[in-house]
Amino acid sequence: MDKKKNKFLSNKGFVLFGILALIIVLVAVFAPVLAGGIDPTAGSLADAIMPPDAKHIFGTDKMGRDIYARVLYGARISLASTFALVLVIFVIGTALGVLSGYFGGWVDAVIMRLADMMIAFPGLVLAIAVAGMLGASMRNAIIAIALVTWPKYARMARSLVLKVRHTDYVYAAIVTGSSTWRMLWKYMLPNTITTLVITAATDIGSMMMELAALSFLGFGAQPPAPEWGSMLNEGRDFMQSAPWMMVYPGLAIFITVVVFNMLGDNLRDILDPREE
Amino acid sequence: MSLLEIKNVDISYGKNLTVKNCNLNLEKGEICSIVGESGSGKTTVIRAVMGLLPGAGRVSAGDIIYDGTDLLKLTRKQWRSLRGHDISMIFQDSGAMMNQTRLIGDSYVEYIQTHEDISKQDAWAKGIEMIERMRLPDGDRIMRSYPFQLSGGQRQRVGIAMGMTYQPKLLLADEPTSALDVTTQAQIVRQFMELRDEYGTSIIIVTHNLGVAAYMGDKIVVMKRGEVVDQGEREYILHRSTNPYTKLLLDAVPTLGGKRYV
Amino acid sequence: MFDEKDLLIDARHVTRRFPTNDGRLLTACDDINLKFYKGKTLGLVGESGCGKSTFMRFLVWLDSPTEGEIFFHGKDITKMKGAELHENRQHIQMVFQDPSTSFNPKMKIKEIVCEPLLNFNRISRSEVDAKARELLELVELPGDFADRYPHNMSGGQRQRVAIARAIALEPEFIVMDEATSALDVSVQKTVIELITRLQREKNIAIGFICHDLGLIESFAHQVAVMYLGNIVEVMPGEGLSDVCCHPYSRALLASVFDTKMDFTKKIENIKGEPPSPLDLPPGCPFSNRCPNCTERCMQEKPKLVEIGPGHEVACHMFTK
Repeated sequence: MDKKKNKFLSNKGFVLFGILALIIVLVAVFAPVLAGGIDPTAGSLADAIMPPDAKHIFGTDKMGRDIYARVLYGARISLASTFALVLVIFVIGTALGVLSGYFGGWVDAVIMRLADMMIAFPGLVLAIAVAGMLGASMRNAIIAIALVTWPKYARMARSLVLKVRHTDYVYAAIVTGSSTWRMLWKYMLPNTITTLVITAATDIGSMMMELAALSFLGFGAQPPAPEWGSMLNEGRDFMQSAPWMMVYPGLAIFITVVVFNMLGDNLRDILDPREE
Repeated sequence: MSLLEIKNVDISYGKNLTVKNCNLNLEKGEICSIVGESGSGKTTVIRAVMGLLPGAGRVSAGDIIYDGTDLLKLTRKQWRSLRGHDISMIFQDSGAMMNQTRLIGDSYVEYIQTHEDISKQDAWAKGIEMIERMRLPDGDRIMRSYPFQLSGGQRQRVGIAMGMTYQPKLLLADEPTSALDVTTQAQIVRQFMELRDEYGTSIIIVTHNLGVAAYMGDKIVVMKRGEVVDQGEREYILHRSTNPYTKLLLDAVPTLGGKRYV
Repeated sequence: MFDEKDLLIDARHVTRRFPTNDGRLLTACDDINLKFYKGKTLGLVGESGCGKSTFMRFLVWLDSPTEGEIFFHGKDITKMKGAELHENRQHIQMVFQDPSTSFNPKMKIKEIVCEPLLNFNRISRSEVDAKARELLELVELPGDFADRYPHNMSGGQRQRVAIARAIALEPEFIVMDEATSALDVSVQKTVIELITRLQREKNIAIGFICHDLGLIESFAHQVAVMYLGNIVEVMPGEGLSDVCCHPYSRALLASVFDTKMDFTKKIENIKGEPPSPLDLPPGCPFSNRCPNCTERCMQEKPKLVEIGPGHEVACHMFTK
């Protein structure tokens, strides 16, 4: 166990970005405290579109709400929804991929054709269509993006399973009476976990971007929810006149995505160093 | 003077001494079988003779003298003219030695053209001739095939054809029949015997199959863990040697009409 | 040759065809009839592509034949499913050829050999350590190998572990697919001695796939020769070099290199190449290469006919 801990802790990049990621998570958790009690959804039009000053350190938006508070609370929405999204894709994609690779035959054919169908669509367009049909909300945005992204994980899981499916030791386990569940759980899944966890970690950044993009387009979080993407959208019309409305949410997205991308990269270096 | 003399040769990979004090003499027209189990170093020895030790391998002591020339002192240029012309090597899977995405003919022509300055057509014709001499009918069809289209036995014959193109005096064969079926193995062994009969080629064959080693070898060398533990004429090794390891090996080899366990 | 009440596995008219991409059929096994007896070893001999591995895999339910039946204790195993299939797995086990790929690299030896027992709830998790040692001792390995990983052992030691795993459930029949081919010859001898000893002690029937006639003659009670999906001869293991009569069997025999053979003997080669399994001739599969081929051989496929005790051959020369 100690050897494992050292593997993680000796990678400086992992430690650095791990700490930064932790800070971002803590910001989300302690948003009410850090916001100093300001309500991110409350604002009066009298205070609308005010540049950053002592009272509102990031300025206010067109409804007079404090942008600083909104950025802080926005971390909650962005992180929670992104983690939920990645988790859903990971679980569904891996499960379908493992089943597909292990059983072959019509199970494989059906799952892979479904995957092919999803991949054939341009991701964001399909996500918009789904969100449009189901109605715009963060939950539906997650469903929409998950629908489009699970095939990537399924295909990866499937090919990792196929690498071991026809080895002697797998046949031996079957011949010695291992149940199907045991074969899937103890023999197939462990071969996929490392690679897929790395993929998920490195996907956090891009999934966050996708959710922000949907929200930006109006298909994700709905006002008055303080979501970074929709804040960008709200600030669009004021890009020249009140740039702070886009700058701060934009920076928040940028920093968070970079931190999680780098974290994922370093995680890959630790778990799968041969990739270099 | 022997055709090949391996004198007190040590072979090391980095700091690890893998072959110790190997001594072997091969006369012209003689066939020598080197037998041993895994880890015996037999393949390492034969690769050292060819100058093909991988990675950090090198002959750290001793001499390898071929026809009066010290092989260990040759330059790359000298090796290039020696390999193929004087000394050739056949591997366990000749098919894997060839580029799978090229026609055999193209690989063969390229091989010929690196050894002599002739046109592509002439090289092609030479290839066909050699292939047919190795008892593969329809040489042109073989030349126009990809390696995966041929059987294991056919690929080995092509490998032998290529190796024999310039009628080398010495042929080194590294487990040439281990990957083949029993009947194909018999064909290839017969082929090797004919090479000696028709061209006077001296052969060193490395094998773990004692039956093949005994049939082919005028002389047998027994290796164990990097050392030559026994060597001598076939008659001596099979019947008169008192070396315990030799006797252990001979006893372990199943023979037709031999010991039964049930 | 053997007592019919000792008949354990009876394969009848077993055929396996594979459809290819261009609509043709590859016949891997053609009308195979074989019997396996309690406590006896049947050696299945043939060259690559003859269908021996394909056939043996039916016995452990890794594949099913296209046609035919395989009776085990009177029931057709090819039709078994679900709980019945699972229950019967205890009685038929397998040892694979390559000791370096037969084990899950992430499992310790004790988990490997006890896995079958846990699968059938024969032991509890707390008994794994003790049971593993017991099994290792049966195959002459020291008990403390139980905590090792397979890659820390030699080929011969790993094959012993494979045998330990195969006998854990005390099966009645074990398929051994070239179980000694990847081993050094001195190690092979000790493993064969182990196998024959275990067979004697536990009365296990063995189906042993092999390409080495000299080896199979030394410990098989019966030997069946396969060529292009067909059984061409079945004969007693002892002294098979004397009784063997099918032209292909004799050709195989003539191809054996032996430390006690006559070294002046010139090697006879079988002429021609085997036909493609996609395009088998109508008559005897060996017809295009047999020195005694007649018109009848090319038209009519010979059936396996008994010509002596425990000796059957599929050749028109021996059947009138």
